Amino acid sequence: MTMKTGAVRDLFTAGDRWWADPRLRPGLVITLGLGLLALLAPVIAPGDPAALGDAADRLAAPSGSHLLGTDLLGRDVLARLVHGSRVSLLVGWVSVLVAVLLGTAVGLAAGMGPRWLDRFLMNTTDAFLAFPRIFLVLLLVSLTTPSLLLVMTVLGLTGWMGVARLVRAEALSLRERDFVASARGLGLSAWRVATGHVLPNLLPTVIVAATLRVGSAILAESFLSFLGLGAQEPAVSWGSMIQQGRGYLLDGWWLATFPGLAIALTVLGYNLLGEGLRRRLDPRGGREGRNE
Amino acid sequence: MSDLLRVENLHVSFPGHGPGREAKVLAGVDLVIGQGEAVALVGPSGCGKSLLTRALLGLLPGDAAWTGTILWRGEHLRDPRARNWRQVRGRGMALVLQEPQTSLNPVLAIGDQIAETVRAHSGVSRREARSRAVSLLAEMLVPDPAEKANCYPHQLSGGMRQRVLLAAAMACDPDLLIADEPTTALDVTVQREILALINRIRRDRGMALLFITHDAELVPLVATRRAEMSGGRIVAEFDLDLPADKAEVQDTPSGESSAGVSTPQSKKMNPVLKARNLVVRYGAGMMVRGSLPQRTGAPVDGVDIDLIPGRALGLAGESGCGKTTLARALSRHLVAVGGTLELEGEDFLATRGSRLRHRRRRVQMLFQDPAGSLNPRQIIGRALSEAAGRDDQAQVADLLAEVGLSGELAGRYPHELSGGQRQRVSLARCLAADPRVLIADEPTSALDRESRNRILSLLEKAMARRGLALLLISHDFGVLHSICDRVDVMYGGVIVESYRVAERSRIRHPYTLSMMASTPASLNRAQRWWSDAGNDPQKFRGPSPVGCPLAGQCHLRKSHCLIELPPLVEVAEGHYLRCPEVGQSGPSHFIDTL
Repeated sequence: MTMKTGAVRDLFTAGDRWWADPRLRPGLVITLGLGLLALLAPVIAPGDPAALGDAADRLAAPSGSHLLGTDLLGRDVLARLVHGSRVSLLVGWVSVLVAVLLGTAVGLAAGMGPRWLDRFLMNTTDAFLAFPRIFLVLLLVSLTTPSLLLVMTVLGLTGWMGVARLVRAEALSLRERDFVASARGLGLSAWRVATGHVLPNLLPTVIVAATLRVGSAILAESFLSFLGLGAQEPAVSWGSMIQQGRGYLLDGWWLATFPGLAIALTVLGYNLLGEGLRRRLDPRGGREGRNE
Repeated sequence: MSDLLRVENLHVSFPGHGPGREAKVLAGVDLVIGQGEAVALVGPSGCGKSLLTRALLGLLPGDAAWTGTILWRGEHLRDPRARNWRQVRGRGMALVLQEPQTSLNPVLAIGDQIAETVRAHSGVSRREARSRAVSLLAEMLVPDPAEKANCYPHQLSGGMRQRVLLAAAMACDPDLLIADEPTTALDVTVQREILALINRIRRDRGMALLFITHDAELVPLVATRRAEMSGGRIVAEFDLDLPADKAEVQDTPSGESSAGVSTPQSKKMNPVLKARNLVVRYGAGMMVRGSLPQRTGAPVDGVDIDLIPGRALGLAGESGCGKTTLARALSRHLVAVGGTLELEGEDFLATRGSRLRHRRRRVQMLFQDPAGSLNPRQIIGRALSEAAGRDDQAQVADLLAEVGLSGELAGRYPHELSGGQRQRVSLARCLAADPRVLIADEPTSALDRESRNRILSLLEKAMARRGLALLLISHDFGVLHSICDRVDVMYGGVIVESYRVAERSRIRHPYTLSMMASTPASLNRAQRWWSDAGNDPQKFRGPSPVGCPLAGQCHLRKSHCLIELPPLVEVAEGHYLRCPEVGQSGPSHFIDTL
């Protein structure tokens, strides 16, 4: 455990200028801010997202009482937006977690194990990659009743391949390093070498890969919800909000615009965070060993 | 007053010290280099030499802060982005670094890379830049420059790559060449070639040189002035007499007396690790052996090794001769395809599975690169207890004490330690497994003199205390002669000579002699012998594929040398030689100095 937390800690203590990094800071601000928002949604949101309004309040433009307007049924858009963040982040994180766990396991086994295992796993990975992801997702989701859980699982099961390749490549390179040879020379089992020595050194790569994938997972979820295959009523998702608002772009522009902006901002935040982390880790990894 | 470069009171510092930052600072450096002068800058690792070069070129990392004065031809250099400094880089000052591999772009042909430098500083056409690149390569004594210009970096040897870097540096005819450890990563023979080349270029072009090294032996070969750096400052400066043609260098750290070797005189004990006719091959290529004794071109091509407890065996040879492959085969990191290997009487080649994991702890390996041999994410104490197999804090402290390190290092990460300390921790980790055999693969080449001597004495002590058998691999005969009892010299996958260090005056194989001729300490007399015989020690090429590996270049060769591999014969008691041509004519008159 000491090794794993060390990896994360190193990200932020290796040089104390991370707060000034032009990518890391906004990325962290956005992602942490959104995280907080999602967490405290019931407290922050102005009112109940499902509360129907009276006739007069329907499709009202942004105003003092409804900061981002109301929708067809008189529901407050801001409240719905805030609650929708929960869905987006939940799906984003869980699906990435599934994909990363699966991908890392496959990649590590392929990179560290015997050749035949590597070939088998990589052929499997290539087979999965041959399918266009979105179609695969649509197919799987439409086979049964749509639900959030289904979306998360399916996104995870179709997103692990990239991570597997990345991890495998890193593992192959780490495998040649002297300290791995030393670990083998000490008679450590293959499992111990892979999990105790190679994996902790892979973590930065994995963390960066995960962070960058959250953005695209959130986009994928919005896409599915837009098609009606994601979150179902009364659960509110940004994608479904856009779907409801798309027929009213002239009369009720606020219905689709704000969720759209929210998605864009979230994805931007995660991309900045991921890029910022990647820049910290790669050049550092090259530099630090150099001082002899 | 023809000062080219004048540095006054240069301070460089980095903000914020976390647990990962060693304090790297320059604390008031004063340096003057005149037109055409050659200055050597020596100092231990971490003293700030490389930082100084970066500061001179205005290439400090973004978070560094510096104060002081840097004058180039009387003009102040202040802002790294300003045009005057940019022009100075490349045209005024050129930089050549230590690692030729990483300084070259792997996906571009070298001719293109040099041409790129030419075009960056003068607006000539692409074709003209290319032909200039070829003529630069020719100037750097690269054979077949036109052809080589189309090669990629990975197709060239280390020495060749360094010549490419020099060619690129010379592209704009700089007034000052800054060479930061340009030969540290190279073999001894190639090292001399590159140094001679630098000298020549300097004289031909009237160029000034700032030569940075941690190896004091090289200084007199290239410099007229020597500046010593320590703790971020230049602490002493000496003028030297003109280099190269003078008598032998006086301070020969690697030639230190071997009188102190105190390996216990064990009687003819049974070897703990025994290899007979070991063959290691990469890939699936099968070469056919004829009826005559042949080499097959494999990296290890029929080698016998005996490792005896309490004794140290040295393995000498240039890189690429198969030493490291042999080491990995002996420690079972690679599997030999031919021959036998016995560990404590048991067939080591046939061992596998959990028995292998158990047995291999008996053979531990100490690697060359201190930075790569420790898991960067593992705390030292945990690494040691993992190696020992038990979580015993007392044992960890003992191990650290055994290698002369304080117990408080147990809580640190590898990057918080210096290179010498890391090497010692690696040694401690090897010892933690309680081995019978220790294989040290060039453990000292990446270290400065102090750390080197320390490691060697630690190895000796460990051998004595634990009854270890040591295999020490190095291209530096000084290192080998200081602690080994016997040295095997390897070339082209076979052992060409094996001698007792105490009787090293008997060395006579041409390859061994030429390797010694390249060691700066023995410069003159060995060089004279070798060149008297018509050989140029600077023109050392790779081993011949068939017959005696030296056949292609040996002045004593006969026709059978090219066809048949001579057998290893005991020419005197305890002295084995693989060359029937070298009779009693032994150049023993210079070996005494080693």
